[in-house]
Formats: sequence, structure tokens, C-alpha cells
Amino acid sequence: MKAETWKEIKHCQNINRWVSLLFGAALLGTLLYAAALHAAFDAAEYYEKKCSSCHTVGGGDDVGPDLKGVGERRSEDWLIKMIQSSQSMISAGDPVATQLFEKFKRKKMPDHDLSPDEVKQLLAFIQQGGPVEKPIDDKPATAATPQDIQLGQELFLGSRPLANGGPACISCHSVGSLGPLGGGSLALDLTQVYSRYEDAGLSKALRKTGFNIMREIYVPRPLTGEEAFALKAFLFQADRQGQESTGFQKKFVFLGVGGCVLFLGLMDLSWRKRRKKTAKPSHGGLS
Amino acid sequence: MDVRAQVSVVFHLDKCIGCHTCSIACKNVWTDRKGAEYMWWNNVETKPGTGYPTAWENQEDYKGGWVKKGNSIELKGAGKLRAFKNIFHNPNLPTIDDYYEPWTYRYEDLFNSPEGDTQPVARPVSLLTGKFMEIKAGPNWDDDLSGSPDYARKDPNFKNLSQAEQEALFQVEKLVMFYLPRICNHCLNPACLAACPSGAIYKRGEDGVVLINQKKCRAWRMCVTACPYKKTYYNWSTGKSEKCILCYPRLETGQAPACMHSCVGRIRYLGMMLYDADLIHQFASADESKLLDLSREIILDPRDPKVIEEARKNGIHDSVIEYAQRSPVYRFVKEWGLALPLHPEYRTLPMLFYVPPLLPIMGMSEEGVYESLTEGLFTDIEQARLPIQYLASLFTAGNEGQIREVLKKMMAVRLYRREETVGDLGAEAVQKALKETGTSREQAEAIYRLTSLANFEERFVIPPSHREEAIVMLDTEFEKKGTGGFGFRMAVGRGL
Repeated sequence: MKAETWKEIKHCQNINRWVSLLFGAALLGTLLYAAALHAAFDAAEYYEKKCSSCHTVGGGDDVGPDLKGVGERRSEDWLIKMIQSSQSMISAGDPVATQLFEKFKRKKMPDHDLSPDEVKQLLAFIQQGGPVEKPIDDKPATAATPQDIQLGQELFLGSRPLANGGPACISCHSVGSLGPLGGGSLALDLTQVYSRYEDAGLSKALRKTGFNIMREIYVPRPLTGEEAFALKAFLFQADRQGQESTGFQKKFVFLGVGGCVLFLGLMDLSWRKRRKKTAKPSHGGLS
Repeated sequence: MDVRAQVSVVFHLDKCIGCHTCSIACKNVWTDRKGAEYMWWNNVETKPGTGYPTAWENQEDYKGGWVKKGNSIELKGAGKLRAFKNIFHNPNLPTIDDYYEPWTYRYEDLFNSPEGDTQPVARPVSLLTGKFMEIKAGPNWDDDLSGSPDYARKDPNFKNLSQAEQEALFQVEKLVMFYLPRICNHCLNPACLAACPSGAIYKRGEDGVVLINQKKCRAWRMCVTACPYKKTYYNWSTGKSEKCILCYPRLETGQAPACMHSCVGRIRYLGMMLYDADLIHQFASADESKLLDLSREIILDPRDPKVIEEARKNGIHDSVIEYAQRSPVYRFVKEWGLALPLHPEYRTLPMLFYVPPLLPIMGMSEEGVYESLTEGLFTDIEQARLPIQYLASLFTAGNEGQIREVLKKMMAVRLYRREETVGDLGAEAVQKALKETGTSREQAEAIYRLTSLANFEERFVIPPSHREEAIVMLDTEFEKKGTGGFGFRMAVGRGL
């Protein structure tokens, strides 16, 4: 091979080295930036997003226990473990955790992907008195009139749109024996949600939801107080009637199979004059 | 008058020996490719027989061609609405079994097998599955098998023959057959073209060759259903339909198509014809009894000054007009009226014409015994072994009179030549035969010469293609300048 060709190849290799170095530097920069972003932990914001829908600080027990003075009641070590993964505490047989789990109707606290340091910041925030709570003073559902329940049903079904433009509940949820095919199956069946959350908890879940997906949807388009009350009233009534939606998943399967058979049958019918066999005598054709 | 040029073809069935050389030539040039193995753009069928694909003439099964509706026509199987309804499932397509499962042989086994007690054999291998197969059918499976219960007896052309007539035809002493070579007819009113939902099929302006644009074809396969001759084929490998292209690259360089060039019996004639495109719709929609006459009438006399003037107006080059005047096809079809279209009742106005076979006129049997010793070597046409009705079903939409006319004329030419060479019939008998068919002696001589003695240049009168004029129809010639010649089909990669 000629010397010039070699030189050319050498030159190309040098270029390649520079290119990879440049890429490496860019990658490192991106990683550092991401790490810096992660480091900025805002306890108040985190509490608002992840804790406030189930806990209060001084507002009494809710879905989970009141967190006022929790720092004095439990050791910091215990709290870190509990917040990071409550279920592993319970399955490990921690007596306090188990007791709380039983007390609060076996509601699982989700795991929180926080470092011990971040948990400490969070605890410090709670120690300082937590967020400024605006009490939700909705009427209890027992006070609802049939008109409220009717309104709630309309809102749930979406036949009456929500004032702030949020999507109707039925898009994701089902309740009771609503409609032939029930509602959406993306999220939980809400038939017994009133029993599970009880009056105040349900009000809170409706007004100030703690579920990630619902927060994405309803924080920019919150329910009005009237809507929340009507929906609660509707869910209360559904709970009282206690009709679990009866296996609409199964209905879907049957409908699917039936529809398929029907569709194929229709195809067979509409193409009944098609050529059904070959004309070739060696292959059974031409009679 | 809208004069256009059409490359037309005549096949002289009296001369076909059924050797399939045409089919092989075509296969080697065009369809020896993956996905095209089962295609025979040119095939030769034994008649009576079912042909390829099996029973293609049975339009009740395949739904090909046009049908008359009021004063117009519509496609039998793939009209606009019907095609739309069936666009994802075309219900009348021939299956691969209607064609045949193509195969090859493991020839290498003949050479590479280890030494053993028995001769090695080349086992057949399917070209579809690649597995060993048992051959059960082929594209000409019924070759020479006239009278076979599976094939000849199921010929769709027997529909007008009584059971007794059919049985008589299949007695061993009376068995009769002839060959029918078929290629795309390059029709004036192509059903395949009309059926294509993608608009991929077109008829070339300069010579009327019907082609499928392989870039536009979207594999709906409506053309396969629509063509009553089953001469468009679906390539399962490329996902496009293909058909006979009348070897247009050869035509453009002045050569006869491969099938015609290789024809051993010299049965094929090719030439230019001028026709009036304004009449296509009217003629194709005519009553069935008039179809044959009209499919001749649409062809214009290239010597008529008015036709020439109109042709020039339409941009037909003088050389094309001159070649049309010398076209052997024009003589067979128009001047002599000897060549007939295949199944004119399909209403596609086919531009491939057949001189019907006169062959089995000899050896009429008397009570099942051949009578080959009598003085009258030629028996009467009426007593020909092949029923006139059968030929009529093929070439004249059932009109026996028109077939008889053609056969009588051919017979007269034979008698004329016999008198010339043997001299045993007497001038008077010959004169009578010629007069009866309205044939002059000069004409009889010309028919004889073109039938029997014509050389290559007389059989194939291919006009200069004038590609430059065809290009100008679509583009400016200056754009094409400097873009021809050799080069790379794809960009050449170089560098890093």
C-alpha cells in the first residue's frame, strides 16, 4: 500500500479520536446537569405532591395518620425506613408498622424513592408545622338531595361537562351497574370507594387528588365545590346500592368473540359467490 | 376520426405444430425470475382442451371481460363499484392451482451423487416452497390429449354442441385437435386497463402496446380478474402484476418479439395498423352478432388519403403510415378477411388475429372408417372433423357462417395451388371455388405466398419506433439529451 494511503488512514483515525472525545465530554456534562437537578429537593413541594392527599399535620387522622409530632413519636431511623418502603416494614414484622396498617384499614402507603437525607428534610418540614392547610368543609354526602345525586351521575357520565373542562370520570372509571358495558377499565372500579375513603377522604380525593395521573389531569382543571359534592353524593349512593359492576371485562370477551363470528359470517355471506375451488381437475376442480 | 397506430399480430393456426418454442423463448427472456415462475406470457394450448389457466374461457367462473348493459358496456367482474367493494378481497381470482405449481429439478444430483447401484435421478422441486414435490399438473398438461375426460371434454367452447355431437367428437376414430398459441392481445378496449384501481395500466400512444407501470401497480389484481384471456399475472415476489410487453424493447430496435422470432412454423405475422379510436366505445357496445364485423371495421385503410391526413394530424409519422400500408396483418385481417379475433364476444377488441385451422379437413370417415382412398382427397368443409360450431365459438362469437366463409376461402386457395402444381382438378372447378368466395387469382396467389413462402421481412414489418417522438409527447427532448447511454443504475459509494 502506498505511503500516502497510510497517511490518509492515520489522519482518519485521529479525526475519529477527537470526535469520540467530544462526545464523551458532552455526555459527562449532561450527566452532571441531571445530577444537579436531582439534588434540588424541595420538601414543601414534595409534601404537597406526595403526602398531603392522605396526611395532615395537625388536621387529624385522614387516610393515614396525622403527622403532627411524628418526629417525637418515632425514631428518625424508623421513619426513614417507613417512608422509603412501608410494606417491607410490615412484611418484616415491625410491630408499630403492622399496628398502624391495621388501624388505617390496611391502606398501603406507596414507596417513596427518597434518600435518607431527603427524608430528613421532609421530616424537618413537617416538624415546622407542615403546609398551611385549607380545611375542606364540604357537607357530608348524607345531606345530598336526589337532585345532587342526579347531577353527580350526569357529571360522572359526562352528559354534563365539568365546569373547568376536566374529562368525565367514566373515561377511566366504572361504577355500579352503569350502562351495559360499564365505564372505563383504565382505573379502579369506584363502586365502593365511599366505604374505602369515607366522607372526608373522598372529598379530599375529589378536590385535591393525590393520585399521579389524576393530578396531571385535574390540577389544571379542578372540580368546583358543587361538582365535587354532587360526585360524592353519587358515589355515596352507588356505594349504598352496593351493586358491583358485574364483570364487564367478561362481557367484552364475549362481545369480541361474538362480534368476530358475526363479522366473519357476514363476510362469508357477502362473498358467497366467490370462486370456491380451482378449475384444475388434478386438484379436485371442474365437475 | 381519431386515427391511432397499433402493432397487430396474426397467428396462422394451420401452420402451428405445437412445439412450444415460442413459450420457451418468452420464458427465457422475460419470466425466468422469482415470482414469475408460473407465468407464461406466451402459451400454446391444445384445442379442444381447457388451456392455461384451466378453463380460462369459462367467464361464469372467472368473470373476465365486458358485458353489454343497455347501450354501453361494463366489466363483468370488476366494475368500479364492485371493484371498490371487493378491493381487499377480490373474489374471482384464479388460484395458483388454476395455473400450476411451478417446479424445477435438482439437476446437480445427477452429477454429485455418490456411486451407487442405481442411477441418480433429478427429483422435482417446487419453485414455490422449495420442497420436493409430486407433479400433478402443468401449464400444458393436456397437450395433445384431445378427448381426455379431464380436459378436452371440459372445454367451455362445447356449450353450444349437443351431447351427441360431443361424444361423436371424442370417438377414437374421430379425435381431432389443433393448437392455439396465445399471448396478450393488446386490445383496443382492454378490460385489464379499465379495471385497474391504481391507473397503472396504459396503452402506449405510439404503438398501442398495453403495459403495466411497475411503479404505480398496487397489487389489487383487478386486472387479473378483468382480463378474459387471463394474460395478466400477479408476481408474488415483487407484489406487482405483469403481462406480455410484446417485447417492446425489441420492437423499438426493429426486431420481432422473441416468441415470433423463434417460431418454428413461421405462423406469426406482425405489422402496424391504423384504427379509429373514436369508434371504440360504440363498437365494443354493439350487438354480439355484429362484433366480429365491427372489430374489422374499426381498422382503417392506410392508403385512404383521408385516413393518412387524419393520421398525420394525430402526429403519426409518415414512416409508420408507410409501414402500415405494407402490413401483413392488414392483408390477412382486412383485405382477405382470413384472420379472426379470439372470442370477440369478450368485447375487448383484441388486436391479435387468428387464421383458423383448416387442417382436419382430410380423411373424413365413413361409418367410423377412414376414407382416404377416394379421388376427392379434400372432403367438404361441412363434414370436417372439427365441427364448424366449435370454431365459431372460438372466433366468431358463435356465427358459423363467418367461419365457413374463411374456411372456404382457404380451401379455394388450396384448390388453386393444387391446380397450379398438380393440375388434376380442372380450371373450371378452381374458378368456381374462387368465384364462390370472391377471390381473384392474384389474391389467391398472394395469400399462398404470404402463408407459405413469406420471409422474415415480409412476416415482420416493424416500423421505426421513433422514440424521440414518443418522448416529446411527455417531455421536452432537450431534457432527455445527454441522459441516455451507459452508466450506473445506483449511485456509486466512495470515500469514508
